Amino acid sequence: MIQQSHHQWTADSGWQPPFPQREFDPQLVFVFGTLKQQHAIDELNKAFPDAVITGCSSAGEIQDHRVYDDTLVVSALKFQSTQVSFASQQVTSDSFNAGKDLAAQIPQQGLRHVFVFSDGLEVNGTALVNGMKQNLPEEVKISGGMAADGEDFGETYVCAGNTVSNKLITAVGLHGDNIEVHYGSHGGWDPFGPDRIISHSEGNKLYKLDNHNALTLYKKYLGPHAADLPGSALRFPLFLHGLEGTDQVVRTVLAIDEEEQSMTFAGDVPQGSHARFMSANLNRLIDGATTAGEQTIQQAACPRPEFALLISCVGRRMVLRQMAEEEIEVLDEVYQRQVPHLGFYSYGEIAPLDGIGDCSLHNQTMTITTLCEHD
Amino acid sequence: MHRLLTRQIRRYLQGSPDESLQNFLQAIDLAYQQADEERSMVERSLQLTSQELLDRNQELKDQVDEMHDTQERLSHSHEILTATLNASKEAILVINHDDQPIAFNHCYEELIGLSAEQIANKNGRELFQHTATLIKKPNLLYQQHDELTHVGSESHAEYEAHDGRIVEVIATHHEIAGLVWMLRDISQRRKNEKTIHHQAHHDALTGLPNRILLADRLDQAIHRAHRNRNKVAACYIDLDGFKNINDSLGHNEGDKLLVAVSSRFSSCIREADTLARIGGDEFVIVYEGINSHDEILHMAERILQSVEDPIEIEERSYYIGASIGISMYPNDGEDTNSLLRSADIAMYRAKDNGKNRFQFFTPSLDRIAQHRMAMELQLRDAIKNNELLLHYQPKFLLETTETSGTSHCGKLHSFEALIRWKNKKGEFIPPSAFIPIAEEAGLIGTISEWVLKEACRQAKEWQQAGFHDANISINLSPKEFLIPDFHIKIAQQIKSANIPSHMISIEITESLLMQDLDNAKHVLDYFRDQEIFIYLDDFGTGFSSLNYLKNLPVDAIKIDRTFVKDLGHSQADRAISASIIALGKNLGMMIVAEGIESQQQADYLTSQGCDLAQGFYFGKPVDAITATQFFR
Repeated sequence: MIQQSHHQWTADSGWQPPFPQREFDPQLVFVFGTLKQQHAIDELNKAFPDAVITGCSSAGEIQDHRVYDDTLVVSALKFQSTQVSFASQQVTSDSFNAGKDLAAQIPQQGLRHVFVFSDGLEVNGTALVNGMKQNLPEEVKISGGMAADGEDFGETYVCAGNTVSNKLITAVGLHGDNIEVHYGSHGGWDPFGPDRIISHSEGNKLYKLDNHNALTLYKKYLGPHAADLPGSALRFPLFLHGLEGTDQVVRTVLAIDEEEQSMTFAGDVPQGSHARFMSANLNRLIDGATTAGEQTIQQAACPRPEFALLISCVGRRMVLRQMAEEEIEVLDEVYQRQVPHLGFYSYGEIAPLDGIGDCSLHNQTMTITTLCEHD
Repeated sequence: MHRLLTRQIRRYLQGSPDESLQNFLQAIDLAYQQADEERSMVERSLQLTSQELLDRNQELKDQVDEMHDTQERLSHSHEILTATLNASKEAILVINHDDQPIAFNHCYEELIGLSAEQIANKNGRELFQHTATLIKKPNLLYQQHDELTHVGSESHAEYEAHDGRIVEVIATHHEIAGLVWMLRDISQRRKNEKTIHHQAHHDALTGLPNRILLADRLDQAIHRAHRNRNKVAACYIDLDGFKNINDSLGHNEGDKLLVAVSSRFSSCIREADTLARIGGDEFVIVYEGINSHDEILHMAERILQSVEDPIEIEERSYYIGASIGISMYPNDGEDTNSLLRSADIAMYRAKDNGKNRFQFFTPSLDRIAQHRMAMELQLRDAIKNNELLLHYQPKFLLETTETSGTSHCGKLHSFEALIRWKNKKGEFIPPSAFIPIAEEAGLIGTISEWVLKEACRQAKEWQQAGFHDANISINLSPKEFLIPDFHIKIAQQIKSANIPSHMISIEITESLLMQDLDNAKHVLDYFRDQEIFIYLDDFGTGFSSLNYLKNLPVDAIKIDRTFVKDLGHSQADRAISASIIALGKNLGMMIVAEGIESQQQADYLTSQGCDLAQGFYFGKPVDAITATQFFR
């Protein structure tokens, strides 16, 4: 049984409801939203001085079936027997080794699960996850997301206690036999148009598709929206497939460089793999969220999770707009009750593929991590 | 606000919606706009996608066209390749890495006797097995195949086929093509090489081994004899008088004669022996396994007997002899060169001894040969160093003293120029010692030229000193007669010395006339035209044919000193001398007696009508300065 309390900070009203006094002593506090409100963060730290407080900036906060902007949303959790560990790591240019070093700080005793929150622009999410996996037991899964900066792609922040900083990664370990963690991750985007081959790329930078300039092609498809790059490129994620030894993945654009005519993606875009543009169909996106929810209960011993962490992609929000809240509401139908949840729109989601596979970085998905603690 | 929503508000809410509906309507407005945006996005995507697909379609069409072109070019170049393959005179087979024949030409089909279809239906291993059945040593072929283990390796071999053909096989292991086999029928080439080898080692005329093969065989024979501790004999054979036949009858006849002679010689040798022709009329026979001198003696006699009978060529009979020099291994030489040299020396001795005989080599012969060689070298130096000089012996007109009836020396008629060699030590070497050597060494032309030049110079000097009647006679060697146009050169030399031609006379011998009468007459006629006086020297010692005496333009006869010497007590010599004088006089020639050493001799000759006297009694040969006193 997880004890929890949920709060929101708005510029108008401050923290609401007010933080509970002495009787509640949470171990873990998630916080997402406009982290630049340092005084609000300070208040949070003051309210929960013994808790691990972590989270990141977002492109929209999720709480109670609603999506907010420019607020802070918080869930404070207290487990009955589960232990919480915490680690943080400054990002170097080498994301793989940063991931390795981060994971190495997590004690492996009774480790069940690791949450990760990362700077969303300075880190290659694929490399980060691969690095972490190097130093974690194989059965321990990772979930989490890349911090976001609205649709601006300017600077992203991660919170560790009362420290809010860019170029930071944090990890939270859950230890103990009673905690049950499940995952779901699904997109709902449809590939369209011709199959293209990535003819020139380096890591997560894409230069050429079928020997043609990739940026030019994106601009052509975006039409008038090209002016809003890189954000508008979220409308056309890339569906990557066909390279031996890699899974099918979806990649979204994080940044563009007009000078060197490159596009930076949230994860690797390996040269030689096939790529197709994807387009959104509103209903299919919402169905995608349903699928993600269903994945979390397929293997679950307890069919009704006590807490759900929802991390959805900024690209989905951009397309769904006011329908964004529907991808949260449908989860009630999946769980047949209201599950307390918290979440944010990110620049990249981390979870096992389809909830059960290899942990990796995803884009354009709704990614759900559910927690349930047995007595 | 979205236009549709504005219209709907106007229609359903009478244009002024309730304040409480504002947020609701705003949401609807956003939804409408969002839907429009999405739709236009989708439409745009569809349009771009279809355009892209059209472009791709066109690209594919172009690629198909290009592929078609490439295919045509490919088939064109394939045809060229096939034509090139088939034009090759080499058989070519390419076996790919899957052991299939992927290329071969007509030449290959012919060479291994299979049709194109049969070849195509076999794999590399089967073709290989088939080829192996055609050749004599199939194992070698498998060996060659095994050598081609890695890419870039090459191997080369030759095979003899059961049908006698010789096939050269070159194979390479190519990275892409696989094993490339090139086969060439080199039977003809090998045959040609054999012919060339044979030609290089045999005499074209007689088909006998030549000098090169002889040297090889003799060398081998020497090695065997060394092992077996027995002897090898080398017989150097030079035909006697062949040159005369060749010169007078032409090379054709000469060649036929050589063929006939070589066939006679061939009958004298055993299978193990070698008969070689090493020069114009020079042969060598190598006898192996000889144990004694007697064996070879017997064989040499057989060689001489073999040419005893006349050789019939085109209904004419030729008598030809052979001079044979024999050397034996190991006594007379331990290697090919020294053995042949010894045989050569012995052959010369056989010739000197009167020809048509054989002569074994002896160490003394070697010494003679060495001496000759040393002499020849010295003579060459002598010519260079002006060690040669001329002495002059006077000839006087014989006169009878009216009062006493005895003869006396009358007016100086002329001088005979006699060559002298005064060596560095100041010793005089007699002409008999060096002229034969000069003749053999081919120096006689040079010496004769010098003699003539010196005589002309001396004549000119005397002429300038006022002795206008001076006359110098020079001796012609028979060998000189063989030099083409020598007579013209003599006339030119006299002319260029700027002296009248009657100041130089020429003395020839009988033997010279014997060697080629026609040529001699031609030359003598020429001298007469040039007003050059001719003496016939040594008359009476040779054939002394009256026929040539009648036909040749000779001005004077010299009675040989052998007849003069014994005039005092030999009735016969007196008769001969008298006859020669009478004969000469009757033919209108002058008569000269040489070797007169006494008044008695002079008296007799004068009484018989001899015109001129030459001898110690009247004047010894002296140098030019001393000779001038005879003019007074």
